[in-house]
Amino acid sequence: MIGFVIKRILGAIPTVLLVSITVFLLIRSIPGDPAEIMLGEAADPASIAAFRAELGLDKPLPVQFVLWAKHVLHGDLGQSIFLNQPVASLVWQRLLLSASIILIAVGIATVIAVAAGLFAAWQQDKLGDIAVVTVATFGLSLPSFWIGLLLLLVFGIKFGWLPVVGYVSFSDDPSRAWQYLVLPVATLVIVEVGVLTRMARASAVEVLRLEYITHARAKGLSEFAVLFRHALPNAFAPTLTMVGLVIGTLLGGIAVVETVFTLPGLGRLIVEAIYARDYPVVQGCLLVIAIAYVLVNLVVDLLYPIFDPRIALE
Amino acid sequence: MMRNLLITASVLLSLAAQGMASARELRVANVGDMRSMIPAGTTDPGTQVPQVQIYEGLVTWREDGSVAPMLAADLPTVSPDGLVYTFKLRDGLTFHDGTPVTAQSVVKTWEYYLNPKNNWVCRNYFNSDTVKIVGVEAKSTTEVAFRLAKPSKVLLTQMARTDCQESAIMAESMVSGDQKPSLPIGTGPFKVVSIRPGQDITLVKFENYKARSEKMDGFAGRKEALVDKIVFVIIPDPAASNAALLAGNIDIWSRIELSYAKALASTPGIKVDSAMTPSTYTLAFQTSKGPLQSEALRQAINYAIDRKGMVDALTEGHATPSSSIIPASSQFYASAAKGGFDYDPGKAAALLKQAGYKGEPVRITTNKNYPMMFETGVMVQGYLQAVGINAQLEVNDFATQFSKYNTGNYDMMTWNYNPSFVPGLVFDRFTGSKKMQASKLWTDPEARRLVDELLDTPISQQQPLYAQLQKLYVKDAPMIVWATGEVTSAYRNNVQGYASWPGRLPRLWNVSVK
Repeated sequence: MIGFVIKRILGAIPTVLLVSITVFLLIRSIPGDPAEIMLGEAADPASIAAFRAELGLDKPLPVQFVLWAKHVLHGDLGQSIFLNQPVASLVWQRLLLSASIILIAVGIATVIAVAAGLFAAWQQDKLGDIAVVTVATFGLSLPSFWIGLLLLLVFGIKFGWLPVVGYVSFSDDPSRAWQYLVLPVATLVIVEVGVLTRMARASAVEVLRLEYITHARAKGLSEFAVLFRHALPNAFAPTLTMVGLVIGTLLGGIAVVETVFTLPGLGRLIVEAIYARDYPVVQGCLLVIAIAYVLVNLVVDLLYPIFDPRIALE
Repeated sequence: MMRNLLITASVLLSLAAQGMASARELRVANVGDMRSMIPAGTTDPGTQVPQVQIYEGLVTWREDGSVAPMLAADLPTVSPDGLVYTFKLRDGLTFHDGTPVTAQSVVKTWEYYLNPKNNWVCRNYFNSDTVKIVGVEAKSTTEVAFRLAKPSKVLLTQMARTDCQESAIMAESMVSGDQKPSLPIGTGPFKVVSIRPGQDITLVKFENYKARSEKMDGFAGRKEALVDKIVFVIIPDPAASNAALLAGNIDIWSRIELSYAKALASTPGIKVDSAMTPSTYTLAFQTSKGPLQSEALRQAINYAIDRKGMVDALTEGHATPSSSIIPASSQFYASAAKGGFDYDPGKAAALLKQAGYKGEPVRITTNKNYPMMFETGVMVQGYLQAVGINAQLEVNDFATQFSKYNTGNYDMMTWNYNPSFVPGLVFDRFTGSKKMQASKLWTDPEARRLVDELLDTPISQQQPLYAQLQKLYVKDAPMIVWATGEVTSAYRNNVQGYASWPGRLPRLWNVSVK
């Protein structure tokens, strides 16, 4: 097991390196740079050139990359050009918020999806199955910004139950913090529950056709025991893989939800940094996301044998 | 039972949500973070809006574009040779950190601004052929002298520029020493107490603020903090700002997305008002290369545009159709802005023939970061195609478009300039040789000469120069001007003393909440 973990971590190094180089080159290959944006339209070319030099952007790209990588290896992700803060602390603050929303939302979505998927598989081709699949497909089809705005309209504006902008962290005021998370979490649950339900249903349908399920039923076990004790563990493994992928995708893709709810999360930080060409922030965020993606999938792989003992980690 | 529980929960939630603002707290939407602590360290609106509440310069602008004293007791005395401007500071002024405002503070701030290493956005305005400051010297604790390389009549106008944040004076700790403060320290009626990137910027009333006695006029005159606290909530998305205003989570949305104007205006408890601003909606032409080198083609494009149609479609009527480079809000507009471009597709077609246009593609560069710029590009493309011009839309993000603007890599692009109470200062930004700055549009040397003369002429004598510039503009057609803009604000009824005004940036002094 330890050997497996070490092998996976070592295997992730080329991935992270490749992501770093790609991000570094991509962000610099698009026109526009932070010096131009910072100094505005009134700046003359000499001032822009001087500022570029101050930021080190006049150096050849390989030199810039090596300098950045050297600092990263020393734990220094650099300094945000526009927010004037160390990138590491910015990313950490924002990651905590984004990760907590994602983990809560995906956790709730998984519980709902697994239950709904099992139910649909159990009721295959009957009314209950059709209803679950229809609702799941409907949820899948809705864009997150639209769901978010709808929830804002109903619960923020119409009923006035929840605040529609701003954020209070749990460390500042736990009694108010949860109010700011309800709607974004609900949005993500609605969006993600569809895809997870379909996956849970598909794998449950397959498992329910296997002989050991027939055998269990023949033994006279209750349907509840058949479904939850025998079918669920085997059916859950593919859904778990999907959960890992969803978490990884959301780490970078939560920007829309964070923008709608004005949450200071990692996704919004990346989008704003890209628009402002805040290179150190873009590079730092994407590096952290790449590492998080690898770690999430590693955890998923480590959890796999718990649900499906046929899979060994060696 | 269940129903009662739900009602109780909803009441509690509602109270909690509404209990975020105290009675004397003003919550204002801000489109982005404050990207620089330094006055005009960058010129994006997210930085300008809070800074204008925090910082003050020696002088500032009245609403008519004239210069008024702010930190200075009065306008400066000028030496007989016109080279030395001496300002006397008002007595008893202090910075937000409690240190006194002295002539030495002014010297330190200006040394910072003029040092090329500090990359101050507005340094060019004080290091040019028109204005060149060669020294700033403290004559006493309250007297400071600015020495120029040659006499200039625009020094004070340039010092008062809003886009340069009035060249505001900062506490010495902001500009000297290794340990810079983490929050900006100015002299304005509000001081910053916290900045949370991506979340909010909190200002509180500066108790030791010493207000001027004159009536408020533009950015000048009496400033009084009537609220204890201002919270700028960072909301980049217009839909979220709209929702926040409707829900009562913010009190003021100072520059609304115009597509929300009608719905907000009909919402009980919310006021919407507009004011014409000294700004023009424009599309820049690349006049030195590509298809738009042709003067006749540029004129044809100008005649092909239905400006009223654009105003109706793009601004919900919150703009004034105009083809004049002089904003319709200006005192010089009425008499100087005659003989512009009317909507005349027939004349456009004739000019295309005269230009020998053979269907070469004309790129319209725009972006989707600012929806109105994108929609402008789409509408103009339609008008140009209607008269037979092969107009193609090129959509970038704003940073890419900005780079193309700076390098001149475009045929035409949607582009707007920050408003200025002195129209000549806007002309100054786009008039001149491309050899000096590729972003200049109007390269006619006569235009540059007229702009220089305009900036060196007292307001009372500027009328004929504006008329000459407008006439030359119609001949050269270096850009499309399609309207004079307005600023439209929406705010809740509990806000008193606030209104949209031509200076566009929200003035939150002399504003109270019920």
